[in-house]
Amino acid sequence: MVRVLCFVLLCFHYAVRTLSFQVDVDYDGLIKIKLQHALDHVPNPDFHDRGTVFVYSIRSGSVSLEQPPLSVSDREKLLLSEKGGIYRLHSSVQSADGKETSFLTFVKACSLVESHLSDILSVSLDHTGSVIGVSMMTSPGVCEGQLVTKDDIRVFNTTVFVKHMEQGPVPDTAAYIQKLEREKEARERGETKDNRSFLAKYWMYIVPLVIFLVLSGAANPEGAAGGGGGGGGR
Amino acid sequence: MKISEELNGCISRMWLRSPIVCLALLLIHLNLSYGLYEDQIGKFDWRQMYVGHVKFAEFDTVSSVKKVFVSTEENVVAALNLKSGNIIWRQVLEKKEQGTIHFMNITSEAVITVSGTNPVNVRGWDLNGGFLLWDWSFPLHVFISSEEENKWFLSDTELKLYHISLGSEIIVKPYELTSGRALEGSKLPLPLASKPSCVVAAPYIACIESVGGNPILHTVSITAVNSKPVSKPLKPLIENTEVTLESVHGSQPLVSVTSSGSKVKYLFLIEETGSRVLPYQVERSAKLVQDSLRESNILLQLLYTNEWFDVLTSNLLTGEPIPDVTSSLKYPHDRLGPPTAAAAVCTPRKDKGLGCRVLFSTTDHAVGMFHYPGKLIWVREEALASVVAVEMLDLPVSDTEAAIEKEFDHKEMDLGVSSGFGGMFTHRLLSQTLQLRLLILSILGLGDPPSAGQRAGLVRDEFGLHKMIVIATGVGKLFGIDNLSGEIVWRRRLENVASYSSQNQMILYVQRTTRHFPHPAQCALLARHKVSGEGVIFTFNPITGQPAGSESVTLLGYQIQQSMLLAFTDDNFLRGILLLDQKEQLHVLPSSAHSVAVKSAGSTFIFTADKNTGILAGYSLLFSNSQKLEATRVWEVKLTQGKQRLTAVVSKSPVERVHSQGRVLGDRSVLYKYINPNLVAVVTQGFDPVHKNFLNLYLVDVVSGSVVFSISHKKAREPVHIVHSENWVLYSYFSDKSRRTEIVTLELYEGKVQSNTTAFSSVASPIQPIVDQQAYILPGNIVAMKETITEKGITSKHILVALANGGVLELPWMFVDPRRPITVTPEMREEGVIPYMPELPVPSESIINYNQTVQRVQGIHTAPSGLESTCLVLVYGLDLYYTRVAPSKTFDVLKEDFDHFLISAVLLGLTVVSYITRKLASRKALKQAWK
Repeated sequence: MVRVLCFVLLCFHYAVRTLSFQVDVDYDGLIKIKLQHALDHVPNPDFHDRGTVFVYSIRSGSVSLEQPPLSVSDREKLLLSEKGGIYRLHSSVQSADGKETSFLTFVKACSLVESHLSDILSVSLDHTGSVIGVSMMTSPGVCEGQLVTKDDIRVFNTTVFVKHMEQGPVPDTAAYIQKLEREKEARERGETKDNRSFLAKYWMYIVPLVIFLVLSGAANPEGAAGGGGGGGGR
Repeated sequence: MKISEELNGCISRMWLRSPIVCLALLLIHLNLSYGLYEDQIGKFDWRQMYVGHVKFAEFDTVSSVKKVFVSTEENVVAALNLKSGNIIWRQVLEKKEQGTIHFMNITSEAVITVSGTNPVNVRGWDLNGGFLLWDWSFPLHVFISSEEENKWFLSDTELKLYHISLGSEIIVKPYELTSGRALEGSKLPLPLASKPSCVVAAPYIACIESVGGNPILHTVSITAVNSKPVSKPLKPLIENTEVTLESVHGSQPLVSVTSSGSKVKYLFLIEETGSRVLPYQVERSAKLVQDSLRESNILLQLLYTNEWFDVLTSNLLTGEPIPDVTSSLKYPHDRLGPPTAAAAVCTPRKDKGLGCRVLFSTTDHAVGMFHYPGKLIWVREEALASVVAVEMLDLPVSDTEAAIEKEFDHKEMDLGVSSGFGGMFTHRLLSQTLQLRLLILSILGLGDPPSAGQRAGLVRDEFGLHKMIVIATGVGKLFGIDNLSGEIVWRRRLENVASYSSQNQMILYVQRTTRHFPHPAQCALLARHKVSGEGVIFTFNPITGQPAGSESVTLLGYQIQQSMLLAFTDDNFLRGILLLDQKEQLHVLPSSAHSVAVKSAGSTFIFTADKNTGILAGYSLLFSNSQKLEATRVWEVKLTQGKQRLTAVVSKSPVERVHSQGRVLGDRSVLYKYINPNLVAVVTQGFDPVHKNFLNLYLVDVVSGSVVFSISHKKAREPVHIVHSENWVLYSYFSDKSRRTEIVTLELYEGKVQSNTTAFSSVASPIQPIVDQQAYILPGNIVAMKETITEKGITSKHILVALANGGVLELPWMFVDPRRPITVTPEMREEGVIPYMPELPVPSESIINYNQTVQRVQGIHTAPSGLESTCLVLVYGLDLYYTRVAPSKTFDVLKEDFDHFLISAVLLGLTVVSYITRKLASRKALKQAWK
């Protein structure tokens, strides 16, 4: 009885994760993404429902997910396709104005299995806030050949990123002109304050002088001393 | 576009240079000085000027230096030398429709051209120098819709230009030639029922129409006041209603009429009183042209059969042949397409009789000059004004080196001995005996004659600077050009081949380089069939131009959607071509490469980009088996919405190597580069009320299908040019807001740790790169851009920017580095980046083509040479310009003025001195020992 209850509870356990960060964009809206996946290792597989992602606000990136756990047969399929197979994810994005666009993405089945169904969905937006692509990655992304059991791959642990488009840079003439003006001012005031020590400032003049002094100073006594030394050695 | 995952192991591992070396390199860079010395002009570079496919031609019958004037499809007016075909002067008009030349003729003072659409410009060019004498434009309401409906006529004596618009009625409007003042026009009283076809046979206009099944020829004078049209039924001569009317170029008002079933052409000479049928007929296939000299009555009929180009010269009025000029000449049909006569001129020869010169243009855009009786004087390959694909290949090894190569080629030499230690020894002995024999034979003069390539000097040189440039042109003519001299080594004409209309592209693949002796190099050209639109392929040896397979192009039977070169070679070192057709079926060419394709199928991906829908889709070959290759769609993104359009897809050069994997920062830590060979830059453009003309750039990993980075620009428009290399993207656009050309650079870094030190994998790298970005202003208009490339990628990269003023600027990457800081910190100074300046300098010593202006550049091709420091450059467009650049200076070559004599004298001197001093020293030691 307890087991059954557990199962029921698990079935209704929705993995919910929310990421929040504020972006400086002039659009906002709600997106609903319906996820369908194919676990079979055939060229043209059937896609089955996996769950739904709601992006409540594109700007803040607050997200909720509804993903029921994988059925036992699906888990077996996934384990089977682990060797060289791929996992395909089909996503239909419904934007606030009702437009629907669909995207396709894939990961290697082995990396999905070995990451214990931890995946990252990136929703890329264009400059108006409409979705241009949904792509999936796993974390970690490499296949190392670990042994994974059926129990490890029950629930998706999904993270959703909303990727905004960056605003292109423009030539920064204002800052450059300001810099030039600052330099000009500094030159006019003539107080380019140099707080380095005396040695640090003039080492390039001092070092040759010292060397010259040492050499010329050493030259005379060395002639005598060298001669003397030579004589001593004989 | 080659996309193959996990094949990037070739990227060499990074060996960080010590800071001292860094500093030294920095000093070298900062002390940038390009440019040539005066005596180096033309030493490493050459320029070839072209005019394009000839549209109109006129012989100069006026001035003392005889020449021929041409105007072309490329909107060029030029004068060519009669004897050599060299350009005497050339004027390049506006691009595209705005410069389209509708009419050209000459007066005693000037060449007159009518060009453009709205407004229509009339220009007079000086006959001898090509200077612009006058330029006026029609009022804006004169609109050229089609060349069919607008005819032009130049009255030489009155100095008037007549514009004849053929619509429901024929309206003639004269203009004063030099000033453009509109004179009173008139409506020509032609009794026309249906829509006729009309031609101008100066100074008349002739129209043909069929009334009740009978063709009628109407003629009327353009210049005469109150001229009366004369109609002439053609009934007894021609009964067919489908008739073609053509005017015959030359001095007399002559038209030819032929009907669809007829084998002959009838000639009509137009006079004030009506047209007169001439008492003879000419063959239908003959190209007719009259002598250009005024008051001359010579008609030339040019008949082209496969190998012969015959000319029949006859008296225009009687049809009597003029014997000494009627002759036939062998036509180089293997290298030139069927000719059409453009203009002719006959002059009395010194000795006796008549000599005729005929300027002809061919279907493959060549232009040439025949002299009758006599020979073909010159041919210009004007197809080279429309280059669509370029490759540069190493030349094959010399005969002696080939013999050495044979030694290691086990297949050829394995005479039943194993390839162990003993086997190799036997090989060596055998090959050296062979070499000895060859040597003796060649001394005695009995040896095999040297190969053709050897004789022509087409062998690989020490530094790999001598290459073969393979060029595919828009008309489907292939050329092999020697890169040092610029001479055409071979040419091959392909029938019915067209470039892909969307980008004016053909694809040239190098399937096998010259490295695999004794297998010859092989290239493949992928193009479109002109009629059916199916894909065609032509494989050939790039050094000789000989076909590798069938003699002509092979029809594939499907339309090509995407193509790529397989990453691996087969047993004969040949790389197969993978083709995806419109029905998403995969094909591999040659079929022998199938097994190779299947072997690497698991890691082979291919992608397509649809310009109309903006959908990028990726396919995996995972489900292929030995019977069938199968492309399965594994990812899909949709980059455009609404009226946006996808304007460019730019991938990295497949031959590029990245030597340094990171960048040393001021604090001695390393910032690792994000080097993803599968990264492709995609540009979409559109218009919306908020952002005005916007431009979006996406960096898409075409194996995993993820959008790695995206950036948007407001108020940015074309021309957009993109350079994508190593870990950076550079693009330029025109800023509507500031009205200037701006360059934006993006540089991608992994961070302070490298995710995978051996190879990059798109599917197993969820890293998000750190993107540095910066924008610059370039004072100039960009027409093409390309990065330099060297063999190992050690040399720093420069960007070659072709400017609209005809210069090619060499811009160091350092100047557009996104890490250039506004406020200089000591760390930045340590790192060696120069402070930010918004405007990029365009110093004249960085213009690599000094005063050799290149017009209307279409693209720049760069190729590595055998020297790491040197990159070979071919700039193509209307002109071809070849040169070589050394971005980090020629650090691996001794200077030309290096004093070999001095250094050997010093060395010798030192050796002698050390020898003498040793002697002296030992003598001294001996003496001292005796003391």
